[in-house]
Amino acid sequence: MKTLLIVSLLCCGAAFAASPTSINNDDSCDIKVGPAATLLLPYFEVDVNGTSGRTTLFTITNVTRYPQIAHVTLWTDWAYPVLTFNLFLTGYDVQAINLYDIIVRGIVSPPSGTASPRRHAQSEPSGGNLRANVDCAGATAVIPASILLGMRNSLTTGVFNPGAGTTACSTAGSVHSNAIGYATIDVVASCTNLLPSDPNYYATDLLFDNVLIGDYQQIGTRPAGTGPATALDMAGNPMVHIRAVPEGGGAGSHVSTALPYTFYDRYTPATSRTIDRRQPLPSTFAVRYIQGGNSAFATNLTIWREGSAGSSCASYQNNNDMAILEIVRFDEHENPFVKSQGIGCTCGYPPDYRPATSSTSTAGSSYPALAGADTGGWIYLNLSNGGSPLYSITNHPSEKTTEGPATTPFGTPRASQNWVTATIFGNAGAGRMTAELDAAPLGNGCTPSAAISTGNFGAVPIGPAGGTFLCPPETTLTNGTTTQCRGTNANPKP
Amino acid sequence: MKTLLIASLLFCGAAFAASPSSINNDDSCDIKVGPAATLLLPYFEVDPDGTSGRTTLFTITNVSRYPQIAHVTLWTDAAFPVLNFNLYLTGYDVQSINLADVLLRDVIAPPSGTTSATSPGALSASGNGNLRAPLDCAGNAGVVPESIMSAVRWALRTGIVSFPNFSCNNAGNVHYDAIGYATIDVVAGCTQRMPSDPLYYTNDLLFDNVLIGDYQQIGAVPAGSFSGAFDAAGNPMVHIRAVPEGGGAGADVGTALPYTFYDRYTPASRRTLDRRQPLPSTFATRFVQGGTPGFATNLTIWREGIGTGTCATSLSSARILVSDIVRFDEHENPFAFGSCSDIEAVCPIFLGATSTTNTSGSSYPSMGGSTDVGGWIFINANNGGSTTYSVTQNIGGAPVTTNARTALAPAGSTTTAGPRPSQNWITTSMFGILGGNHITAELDAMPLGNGCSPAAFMSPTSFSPLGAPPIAPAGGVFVCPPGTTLTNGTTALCNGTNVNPQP
Repeated sequence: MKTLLIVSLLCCGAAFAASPTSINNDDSCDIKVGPAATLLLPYFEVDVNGTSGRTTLFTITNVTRYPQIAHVTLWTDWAYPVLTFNLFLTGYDVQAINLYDIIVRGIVSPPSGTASPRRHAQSEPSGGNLRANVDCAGATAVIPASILLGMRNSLTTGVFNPGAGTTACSTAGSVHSNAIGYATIDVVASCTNLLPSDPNYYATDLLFDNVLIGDYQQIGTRPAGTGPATALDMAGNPMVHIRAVPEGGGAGSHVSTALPYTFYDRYTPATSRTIDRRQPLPSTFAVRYIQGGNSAFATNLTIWREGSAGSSCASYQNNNDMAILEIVRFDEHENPFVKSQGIGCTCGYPPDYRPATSSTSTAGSSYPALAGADTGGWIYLNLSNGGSPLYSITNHPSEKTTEGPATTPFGTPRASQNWVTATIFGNAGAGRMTAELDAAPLGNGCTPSAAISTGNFGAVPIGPAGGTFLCPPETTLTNGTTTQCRGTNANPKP
Repeated sequence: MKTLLIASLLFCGAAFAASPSSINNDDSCDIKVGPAATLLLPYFEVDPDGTSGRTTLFTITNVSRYPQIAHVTLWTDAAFPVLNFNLYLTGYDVQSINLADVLLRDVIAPPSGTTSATSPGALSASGNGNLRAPLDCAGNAGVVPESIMSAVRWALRTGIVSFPNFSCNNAGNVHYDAIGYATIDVVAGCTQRMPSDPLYYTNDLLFDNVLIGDYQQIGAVPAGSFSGAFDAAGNPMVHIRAVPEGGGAGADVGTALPYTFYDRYTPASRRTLDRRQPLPSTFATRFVQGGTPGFATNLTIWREGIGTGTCATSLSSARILVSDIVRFDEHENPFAFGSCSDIEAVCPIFLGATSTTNTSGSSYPSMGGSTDVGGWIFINANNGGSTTYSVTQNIGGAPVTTNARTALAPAGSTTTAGPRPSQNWITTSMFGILGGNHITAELDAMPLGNGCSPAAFMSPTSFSPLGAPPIAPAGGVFVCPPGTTLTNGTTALCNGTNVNPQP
């Protein structure tokens, strides 16, 4: 996607286009599937009554021989953290978690949790990057009933009140019969009880080793807005693998990063915003859909969105109503369809809104209606919410950070982070098919915010970040000209 | 995986570890899902009778406003190209292909193919300066003569190619279904050249990262069994970007990639001309098998073949060495093959250029004595190298190509003198039955490095020498940026690096 910055970047583009590529491991803003320091489960849904079998499983694997601690945090669909627990993983360990066990049965990794003693001879017994006196022997296996109830209620009603001196909040999430939210899993140095929303978490606990991989399965998933599935469908996908760049160092290490901002930067200490070094997530996506037809095709888009760090309980409501810059649907004949005119437009149409995590059917009112006879196509999503003064960005070379709606090369202040997966359903005879796959980001988290597209009467065509075409120095297009060479892949420094 | 190069790299690692990362788009060896110049469908399988419904669908989307030409090539499971066709995509076009239409009904993009006569959408541009003028796509085949398609089907089932002017008896393995893989490239004209033809790279191939794609395996079943229900699994195709991006057809632009996806087919004097990202060789993947729900896992493995796609070399690509497979159960117990008692042992496992195998089968170490129904598998799918692969060496600041051993060569290899690890891709299909209902999920395995990482350790014998590096992410653990220590205040375990060497 070309942006308003294209004009100013163009002169630099020619110089950078053929500069040496980074060929190193873990040296990119691109999100790939591979060992990472944080895993994001972008959406979970659990039937708390257990009647439908609807639940979300996830599995974490430690691909090193050293023990690691995976710190799991469950968040509501308004980005309110409600539960954290630790999984002690011996070297080469794999641990599956059924969120029904956690949210309904109150058991972490049955039958007895994951404490530190277990290991195999191929694994190192201790050490690595963990704190000397690992405090995981008492890692929680059973969640106390009062906390369990408070946590479950928060995921179904948005009311968080576990008692025991914990601050209550009645606007922690939206209301739905199933428990819905998202989860983050971080590599940490000890069995901490701090939440990622606590700045101290970054100064004392967080590690930076890219050593975890993970996947998830949605059991009993179905097209959004329909009743219980007639068959038990399952969809699976890798979790979002967010790497620390650069990798390594002890807990709380303050190492500079070239990342302009980071995945957790709204929670980090104000004086060291990018201390987590986690790759940021992108904001523009292209995703396929199919819907309708004789095979009852349907597509859910599951969308995770960066919320704002709540300054108060009431402020979490803002994470339910985060604007979406624009959505453009294309059918199979390249006809574009739009619903709203985007938040940058004064055309009189309301913008679209979506919470911190959600799963919606492309046939529903959240997306531009599909006219005509086609049953498929693709959807362009620019999910930036327009920025927030709570997001930060790093100023180079001083490594100081700025907050607020300051104008930066990435927007004002920058695009918000997002992730999208598509779940495709269909019937074929008596059988059913379900497939879940990641949407394709059109740029990476270091890409400047995309402007309103021509689909919504903006000036910028929809396309890969940086625009097309790119012409390395001394090259032309096939027709011998350079008039269409307006693209660049160089992202600006803050 | 640490390599023997670690010692020499460590010194450099300290200096580079915290150097500025690349934050640019498309500036990495990492394979991600995003607009690309080549899409790899790592495996397809079509029931030639059509009775089981087993087929593979794939869909390509052009995410740019300009028209693009997607050049599709079907290859056998011994990396022999047997068919190519072009899909003309207008700006923002999406095109689905059912390979049963192509292979059984002789129709490409029914009812009438995709030609440049298609009207563009309201937001689509009418021209593309990167397409050849005059455009030669008006006659894109919608229907392929049955005489050709019957030969293609036969080649994909038996490995016997019997075209009017060419024949080959060892172009693939024998199986009832038509099995192979597909590549889809952005090109400048509706060419009929195969990617195995060096002229393809000097005349046709483009470098614009503008295509995305996904696939569905319809009727997927645990390998070696038969379907009880009509299951389908889906996944993105492998998105291989041109780095750096851009330029006209045949543009010869330097790349920092040490080698490339197509480099065994490119002109000998310009091996990295395609600028396509290389694929990695080491992977970690989960498995579930057995138990009451009848769990099963297929691993679908695409492998870079040996040779240049000729009849003579396809024989080698039908059976390619796998360096190392180690299975871990849920209690971290490692399992290698019976004769290989060491965790780093090299075992003589062979797989074709594409295959799908059940993790409970003989291609994988069994879990003797374990009652677990799951765990994960480490696969070093490197074949030990080949002299048909190439690599770029930076000599005196000038990149040149070589087939000699390099800093990326498989450590300890003696059977071949390959300059680098071979390329691979793995996906995982998990199956289960709950209450009579079938569950199916397909997802990518996790590469432990990228295509620019040096070859992971490979022993010259059946047993690795003492001190062989452990299984780990490429570069090893732990990586310590300058001025840092581990949490315990020491640097004794700071043996890792993410710096990949230049060849």
